[in-house]
Amino acid sequence: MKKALIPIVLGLFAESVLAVPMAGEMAAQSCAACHGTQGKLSAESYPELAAMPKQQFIQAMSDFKSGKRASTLMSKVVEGFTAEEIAEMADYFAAQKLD
Amino acid sequence: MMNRRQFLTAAAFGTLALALPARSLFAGVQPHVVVLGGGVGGATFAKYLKMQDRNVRVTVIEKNPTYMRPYGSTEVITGHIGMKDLEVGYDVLKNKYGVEFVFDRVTGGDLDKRSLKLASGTTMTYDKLVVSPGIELMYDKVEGYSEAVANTDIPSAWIPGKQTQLLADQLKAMPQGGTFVMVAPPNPYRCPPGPYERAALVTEWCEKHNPTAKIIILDPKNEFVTDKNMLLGWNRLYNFNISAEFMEGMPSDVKIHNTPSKLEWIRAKDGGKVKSIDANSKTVTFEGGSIKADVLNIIPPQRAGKIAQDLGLSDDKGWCPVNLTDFASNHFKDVYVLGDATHGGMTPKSGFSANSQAKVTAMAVIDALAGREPNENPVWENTCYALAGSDYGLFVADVFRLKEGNVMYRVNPDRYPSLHQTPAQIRLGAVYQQTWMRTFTQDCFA
Repeated sequence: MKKALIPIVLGLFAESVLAVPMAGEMAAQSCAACHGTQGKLSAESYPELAAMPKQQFIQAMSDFKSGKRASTLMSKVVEGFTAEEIAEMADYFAAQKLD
Repeated sequence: MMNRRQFLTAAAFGTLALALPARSLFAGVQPHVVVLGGGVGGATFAKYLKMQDRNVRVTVIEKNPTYMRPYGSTEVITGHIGMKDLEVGYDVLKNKYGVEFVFDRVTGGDLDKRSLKLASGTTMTYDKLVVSPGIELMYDKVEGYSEAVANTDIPSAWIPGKQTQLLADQLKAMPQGGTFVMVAPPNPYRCPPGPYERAALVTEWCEKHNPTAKIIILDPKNEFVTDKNMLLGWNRLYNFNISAEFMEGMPSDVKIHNTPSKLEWIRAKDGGKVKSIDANSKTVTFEGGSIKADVLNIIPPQRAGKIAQDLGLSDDKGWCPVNLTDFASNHFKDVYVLGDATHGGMTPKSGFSANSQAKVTAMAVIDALAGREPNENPVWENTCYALAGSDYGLFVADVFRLKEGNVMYRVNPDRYPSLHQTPAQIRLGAVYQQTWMRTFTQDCFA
């Protein structure tokens, strides 16, 4: 079955790129275990990331990194990501609509 | 065909929100992905695979129609929550995401032929199989202990269920001034800070309800994840004596004293390794002596869930070796293993790790079905929140990646809270721990 499947799938792949994840999507998904799937939360004590303006996300991460903004664990987590990834994650969350 | 820039533009203008649910590589053929185990790893994987591509057929095979979450289950023992609060249903995964569920048990299979046998007699075939079976508790590795004893007299309560309620009932019924003994497990085990959080919460409970009780941890180890933060909390809350080798960097309010604490941690170097138990008298013999307990809680050694052993996915250490890029099994083609059951590189055996692995592997499985290479720069995260008391939160936080040769490493140099956190930050850690119970459950199951 696998032999038959791959050529068909590759054929479809030429028609569509939509199943390719957004840049930053994998990194952004790592936030979801606290901040909600696609950054969507309601009335919880973690900030909702969905629909956050790009610059606000980048500023928050940069302030966690520099220590300008006090945090519990975000100052540790932010060390795990490059500036480019943070910008991509910011794009990902800015693209999410609130439910 | 959209290129990445057009795709991002579409995203920015919000057209993506409409396009997302319909996006699919697989309009004409419907690959079948079977998930074995509906715990954190399996549920998160099924949900995120459907989010990546709704036209992939996803079937979860799970024994129980209602999941009981292990994370936070110690709070049942101290009565902060009830058994019902641990229950999680699968309706949202079924109705919102279109995940199919078969409540049955896998009895065997031929993984070379991509086929599984179920207890009901059905055969199920797959294009890709994801196995997320959790842990098996090896009761018999503790001399004198057994599953039968655990179910009736000496609970482990490490996988939530009747033993959890039994331990809660035993704690409540413990005589005034009684002794609660916990036997901590050897590495590696599920939920690294968990035994120490449990000891702390039991101690806190006893301060209120059984102030002359003693809590003793017998440990085959000399240290644990989050130890310094936890010991500091114990010192502040329960007058715990911190030994000299943990004192470096401790704040000045640490109380140094020689009075015995109601909470005692006997490490391997002090003879804490257990040799045997006598189940009838609840007497534990360890290298440093013996203790008769009023309530005895044994967290036994662990290995990958039994079905992983039966299917040949585990190695001689009892855990499943995987390729770290995508968590594909080293033993069978088209099979992936998630969660506590894997060696998992550096990712600890935590729900958070299983959830994070599941998302990365969901992307990798879509890539594999599409004939693409998986993302060569995967990233995983782990956070274990833990409590030293109901209002005293602490954590370990990690971001993991791969370097050459598929070696996993932690990217962030610092993973623990500062020992100099303010009281407000410590309290916020506890608020976040409670929040996480809700938001994490949603990310996995809703």
